Amino acid sequence: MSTTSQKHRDFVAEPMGDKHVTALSGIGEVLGKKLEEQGFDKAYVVLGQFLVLRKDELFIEWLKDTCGANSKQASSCYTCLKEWCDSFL
Amino acid sequence: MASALPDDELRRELKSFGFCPGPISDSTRKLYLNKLKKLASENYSKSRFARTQRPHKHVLSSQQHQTQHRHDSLRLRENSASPSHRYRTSSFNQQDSDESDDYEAYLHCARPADNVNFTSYTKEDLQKRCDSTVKQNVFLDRQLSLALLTCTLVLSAVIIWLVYVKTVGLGQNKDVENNLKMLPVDCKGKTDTYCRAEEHKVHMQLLSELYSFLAKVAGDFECGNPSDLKSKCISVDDAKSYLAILNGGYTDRFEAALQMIVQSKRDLGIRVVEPGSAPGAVRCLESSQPQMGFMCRFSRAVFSVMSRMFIFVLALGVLWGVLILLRYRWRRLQEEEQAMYELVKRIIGEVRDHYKDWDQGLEPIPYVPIPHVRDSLIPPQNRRRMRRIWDRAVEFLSSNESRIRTETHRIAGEDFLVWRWTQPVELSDSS
Repeated sequence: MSTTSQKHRDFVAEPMGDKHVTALSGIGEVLGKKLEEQGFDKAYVVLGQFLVLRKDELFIEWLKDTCGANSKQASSCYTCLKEWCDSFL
Repeated sequence: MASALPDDELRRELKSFGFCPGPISDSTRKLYLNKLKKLASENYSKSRFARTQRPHKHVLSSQQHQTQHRHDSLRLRENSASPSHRYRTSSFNQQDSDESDDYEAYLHCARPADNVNFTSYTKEDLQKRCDSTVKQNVFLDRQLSLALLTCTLVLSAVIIWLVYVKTVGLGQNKDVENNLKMLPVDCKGKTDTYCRAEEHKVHMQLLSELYSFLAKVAGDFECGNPSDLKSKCISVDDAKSYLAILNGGYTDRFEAALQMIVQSKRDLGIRVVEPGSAPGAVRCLESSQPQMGFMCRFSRAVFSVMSRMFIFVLALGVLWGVLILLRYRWRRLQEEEQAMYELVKRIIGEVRDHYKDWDQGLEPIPYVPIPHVRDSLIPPQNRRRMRRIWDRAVEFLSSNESRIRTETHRIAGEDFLVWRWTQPVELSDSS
């Protein structure tokens, strides 16, 4: 899994606690602001949405619709959350 | 197609395609509607080409990926759960309605669990390892014992045959009797054939009596000496008196018979011993063919044969002893190897359990010191005895087990060689 970024590895290594939504892999400053406007200011809220969608790839679509992320960013975020769930959920 | 469906209808439609939606809320409704549209269009295009195929099948393939997550999370903490258990827990967690097609849909959603079989040291593997060496040993063992058995049989047959020959050989000697019959005749005073024949006959009788007497005496003397004779040589006077008891006519002819014995070149079985320089020695007669009893002969034969064959019997005995020792040693080695493999299995189980405990937060460190494993597996009274087996097991593990890594760490200030389980827990088999 050498294609994961450092951000991904950092997020997946420990419980997310109160981390900001920009700690998620694929979510930078711009996307983070957009998500905040929608009410998703913490990573756990996005996790909630991910879980509501039953950890399906529909989450990628949702993310694209909500904050205008491209495919790469959305897939990265999806993978990040999936792995986090595998380890901690 | 259906942009303003009520939620439960939307749910039902999605389930009819085998897709299990989560809660339908404001944030998710649009997504599920789009999904339904996509599924419907896919189904329609598929059914145009393959009418016999079930419409749910293509949905299932795209679903396996999403249902994978559900099962991964469940599998994490339930390593030893059976597939049926997983089915039950997933359906229990997800059931929010009592409709029968719900259950069916969830069953469609669920994916048959992967049973990844990793090779572990099962009994059969261990057995195969042991068998090759055991077969070799058993073959050698059998060959050697067969060889030794044949040697023993041959040797005993030879000994019996020799004993028999000697026993018979120490018995009568036909030659002497024949020689006795060929003595020249000496008739006293008269020279006609009848007289000569008579004289000859009497002499023969005398000599044969003398011979048997002397032989008996000699035999008695040789075989334990029950009548306490000093030697088997009977003095001439004693012989004469004995013969006189037998037959009065023998006394006259005794001297003539003695002359015959002395003069004859052939072996008559009677020897005349001249008095030597020893004081009190007299002229005496001795039998050169002692007549010994059967037991006496047999025991003499056995002694003489055994003394000659002694070296062979000894060698055979030594070889048997060596074979028995070897067999014992092989058996011991085999037992040790079995014990070692048993210990290896237990060690692997222990290290893996330790890692699982650490994973669940019950242990502070992911690796376990080797001495600690030894002390937890072997009770104190066996530690010295099993030291060799333990060392062999450690050696085996370091060279043949890839899931356990040997490292050096400092624990509580002391340096230890430790074992670390390196296989990810979800993938390991619970054997």
